[in-house]
Amino acid sequence: MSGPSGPSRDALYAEVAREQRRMIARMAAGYEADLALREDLEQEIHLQLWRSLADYAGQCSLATWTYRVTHNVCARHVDKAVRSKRLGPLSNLDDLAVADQAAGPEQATHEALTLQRLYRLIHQLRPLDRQVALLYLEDCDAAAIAEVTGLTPGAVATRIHRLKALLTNAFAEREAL
Amino acid sequence: MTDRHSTAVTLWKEQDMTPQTLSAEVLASRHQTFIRTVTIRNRLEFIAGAMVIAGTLAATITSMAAGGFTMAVAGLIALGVGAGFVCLQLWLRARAPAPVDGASPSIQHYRRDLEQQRDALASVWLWYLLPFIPGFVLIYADVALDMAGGWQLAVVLALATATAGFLFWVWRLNQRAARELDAEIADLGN
Repeated sequence: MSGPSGPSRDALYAEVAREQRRMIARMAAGYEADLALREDLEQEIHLQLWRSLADYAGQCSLATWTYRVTHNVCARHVDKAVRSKRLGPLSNLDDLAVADQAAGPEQATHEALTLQRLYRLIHQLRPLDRQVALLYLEDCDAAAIAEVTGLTPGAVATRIHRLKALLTNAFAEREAL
Repeated sequence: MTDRHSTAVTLWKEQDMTPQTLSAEVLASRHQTFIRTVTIRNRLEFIAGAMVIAGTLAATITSMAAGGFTMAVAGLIALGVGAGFVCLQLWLRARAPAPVDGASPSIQHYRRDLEQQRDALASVWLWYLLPFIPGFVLIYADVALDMAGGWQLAVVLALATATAGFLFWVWRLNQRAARELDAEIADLGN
């Protein structure tokens, strides 16, 4: 193992935990709908993050490192769930029908329900598209998303464009009331 | 559109959450538990491998005592060696999952994971099926040569065909899974 270990790793982890713990919790929620499994996933992210920080030597910002490790742990979690048939097949952003996301007007009157709809959309996505969607919701710009994911800026832009269309529909009913 | 983006981001970031963090002690303890689990699993796999070899050895000795060194005995030895080789391969492939890191972009990490799985599935004939074939061939050949013909030979041939069919089915299943992973890898980043 290269890079910091022992107290340095603990110090780095403490910094990440302080700054990013809410983001990690949201990401875990974005990748796992079941509450009990989500808690396990969140703890697994923290453990893998702590272990990975032994190799952190400033290759990228700590935030980018954290986003990547978080996604990599979550992607393995989703893959395992799909292969064990706990989850059905997942979709690309392009394959999601905009109309499928629309709830009836009576369902779109509350923020919690809109959030629920947002989650329903996210939970249908394959890991890479889901990562772009979650980073977008974390307010990362396209360049940051490209750096974290390794997608080309063009591929990120295409996904964001599609995501915006889906979000527009998700929010449209709510605003119409 | 920007307003909608802000609304979505606000809704997302301000949702009610109770984030967890783990203390340094808990992290260290879980890390040790993980290491212990891997060690125990490796030991169990070694024990399973040793039992296969011991079982083959016992069957070989019994067969030799009954009828000397026949082709079937050679087949048993070959099956034992094959099973030992497969156990070793399973252990080598399972013992070191790629560590999760943040140094490379997620797509590279994901591609590495998928490629590792695809390669294991695509080469299953080499490391999982082929090692058993010499043993099966020798045992069935020995039994078939002992038969004068008639229905007994037909039964042996039917069993040999069923074994070959089963191995072929396992190969096809893994090839299909490898092709699916291949398509997923090709689709990454598009």
